[in-house]
Amino acid sequence: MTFNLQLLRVALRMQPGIAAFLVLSACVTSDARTVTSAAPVEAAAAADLGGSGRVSGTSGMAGEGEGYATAQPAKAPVLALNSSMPVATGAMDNGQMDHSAHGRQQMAQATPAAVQGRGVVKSIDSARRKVNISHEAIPAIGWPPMTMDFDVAQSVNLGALKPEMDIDFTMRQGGSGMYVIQTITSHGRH
Amino acid sequence: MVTRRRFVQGFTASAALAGMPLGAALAGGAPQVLTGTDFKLELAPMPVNITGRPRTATAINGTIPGPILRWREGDTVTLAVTNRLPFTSSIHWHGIRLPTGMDGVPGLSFKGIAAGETFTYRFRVPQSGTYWYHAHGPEEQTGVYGSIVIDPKGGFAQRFDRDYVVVLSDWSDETPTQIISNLKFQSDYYNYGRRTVGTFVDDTKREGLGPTVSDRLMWGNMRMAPTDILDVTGATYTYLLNGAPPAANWTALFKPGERVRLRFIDAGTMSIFDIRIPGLPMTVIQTDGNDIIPVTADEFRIGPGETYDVIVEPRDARAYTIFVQSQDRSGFARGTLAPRAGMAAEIPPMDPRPLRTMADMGMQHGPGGHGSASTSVTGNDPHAGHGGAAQSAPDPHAGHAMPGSGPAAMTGSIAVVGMTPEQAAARLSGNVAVDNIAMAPMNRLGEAGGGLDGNGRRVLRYTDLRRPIPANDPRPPTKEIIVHLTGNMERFMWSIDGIKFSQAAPIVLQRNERVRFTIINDTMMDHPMHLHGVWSELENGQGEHRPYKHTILVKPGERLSYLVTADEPGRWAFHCHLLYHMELGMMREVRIL
Repeated sequence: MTFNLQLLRVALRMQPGIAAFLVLSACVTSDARTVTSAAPVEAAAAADLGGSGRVSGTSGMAGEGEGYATAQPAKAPVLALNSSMPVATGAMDNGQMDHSAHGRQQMAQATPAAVQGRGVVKSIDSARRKVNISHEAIPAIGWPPMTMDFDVAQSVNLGALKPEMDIDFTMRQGGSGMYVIQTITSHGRH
Repeated sequence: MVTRRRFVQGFTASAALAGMPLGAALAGGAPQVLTGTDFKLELAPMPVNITGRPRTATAINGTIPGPILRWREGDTVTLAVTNRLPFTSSIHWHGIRLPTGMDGVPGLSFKGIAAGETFTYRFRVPQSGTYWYHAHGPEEQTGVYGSIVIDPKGGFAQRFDRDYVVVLSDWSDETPTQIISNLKFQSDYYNYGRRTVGTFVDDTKREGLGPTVSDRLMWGNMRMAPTDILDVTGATYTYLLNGAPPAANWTALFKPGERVRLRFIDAGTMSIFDIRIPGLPMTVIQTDGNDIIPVTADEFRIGPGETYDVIVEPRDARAYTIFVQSQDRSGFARGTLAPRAGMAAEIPPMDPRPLRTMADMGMQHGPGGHGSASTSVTGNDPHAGHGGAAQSAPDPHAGHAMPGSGPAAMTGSIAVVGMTPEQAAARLSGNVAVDNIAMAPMNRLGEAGGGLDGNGRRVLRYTDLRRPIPANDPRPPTKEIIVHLTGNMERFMWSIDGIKFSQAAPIVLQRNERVRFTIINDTMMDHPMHLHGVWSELENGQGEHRPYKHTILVKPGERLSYLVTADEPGRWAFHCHLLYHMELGMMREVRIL
């Protein structure tokens, strides 16, 4: 360390370029595999572009990429960090979600009367005939993957269902606009 | 024993002591952020001192990287680009969908921006996300690159509190001309990790003498050292993070508990990077400007041209290192996430250098496995068909039905353009520009890549990328374009289908055609393939939720495919985004009528 300081004093009297070179040559041999110097240079301030609240999102579907601005607005669920499966927020768990705004303007084909889906049963409420399902996206009606409650038609045997069961299901829109499940079959994927 | 040159980490505190302005050390200083709809960009020479040796770089508006351009989806932007460099240049807006005349490729979109001229780009911004812009020639190496952030009209799908762009790039004190000249002189000029007697002894202990000797002879015959991963390495490069070399410690601030968005852009000309933040898992939310269903990973690989957006949620009030290793572990770029300026975290040691395998040669038969370099080759030499020289022994692999052949030849309902496997074997062997033909190219999308598979960390794979909404165009393809990525490594020649760009006819598509591009990588290097003007929907097993990409990193010996809707007419570049591969002919024009 003493040697370096002496060298530095000499170097500072010389041309800045040579000074830099001499000082640098003492530093450049640092082993790439070890922790670097304890007093790093303060780099220029990083430019923070701001939080996600900077866009109010007045038109189109939330999301980035091609085609989101022209798609029908839908309440995209807030996706939990560290999960690859999106988890619905509390407000959606009891089926309050407004589905009437779903569907995409871009879809050219007509929406089929019975819609098919695939997912995993999370819980069953036999008394109120509701099932909570974590389902994959349903492109036919523009639904992203979600976890939500469904009303279930009388013809479905809820006794055959268990939590964590992999299922295929079909559903139709009821009078209120909400989708009601018509059939559930286990597809035993595992 | 050859002494290894340690890659230069750049200035440390010595820069301040010596009285040099920090700006010069950091390739121009703090980045500008430009917003609005009218922009003025100027390309000009700029003195820099990144490694301790003064050099002349080429910069946009006096900084490297150039300014962060902030656009809004739906706006019409006007960008006046003035070229004060002493040669024709241009700016290409990478990943942006626009009319072909605005795409910035000299010779295809327009004639380029001559020295002293100003060209005014003007186009509507039809998309949102993270993108970037750069020159389409050697001046990209010396600093002409910058980032684009486009805010979405419908709002963000993910909430975050802070938002930082992280541009990764490679800087050399040698000029692009010197670099190409060195590679032409000796294609492994920048690789110094050749296998030595030490590793021979280790291998014989593990595999036995016979297999080890024949393994060495085989690699020796093919004249490619199994350690060649990147053509240009840390032997000449200093890797930059937002223009800062590792010692300058670019730092982004956060408050513990905040969600921080990091927009990673690989603006390196020849560098594929593996990125991780020790102690902090990353939730990947976007690639190439398009949202994906969030996937949590510890590490991901990024190739030149690609972008990946992640969200991290650091909980502790401490520093975290953003660790960006080059694919061949010849160096790293580095930054810090910290609650205050002036902090640094430990930098981990670099991972072991990866080795090329049988799978990389396209020789790995059978389902899915990774070949090991010690696979013994006995009896009839199946490599007789390799090498530029004419061969007399019949190649036992000619005429094999290719495992995983595309559906094209089978169904008959899709027109195929390009060479069938038999034609490829016939036409490419004996072609001096082609030193290898992958005999059994495979689907490798489920692999993380050489140097990442099996490292004990959760690494992102292309099969993890799933678009939240289904593809805009539900039609199946009516045409398949087969493209062979070819090269002669020893002579540093690169091409497509054995023909370089200047001698090739364009690939012609009809407006609104739905086509499948099938890429077969006959070389032993990774190539980030970039198609301008239209989206590449990578067929990765996610069905209608396949990801929209503009740049796809193709592994050695890999066969992959993507769907394209040819919805924008014009003359579009299609090329490997490794700058010196593109310069030497690994490019085609895709002409949409």
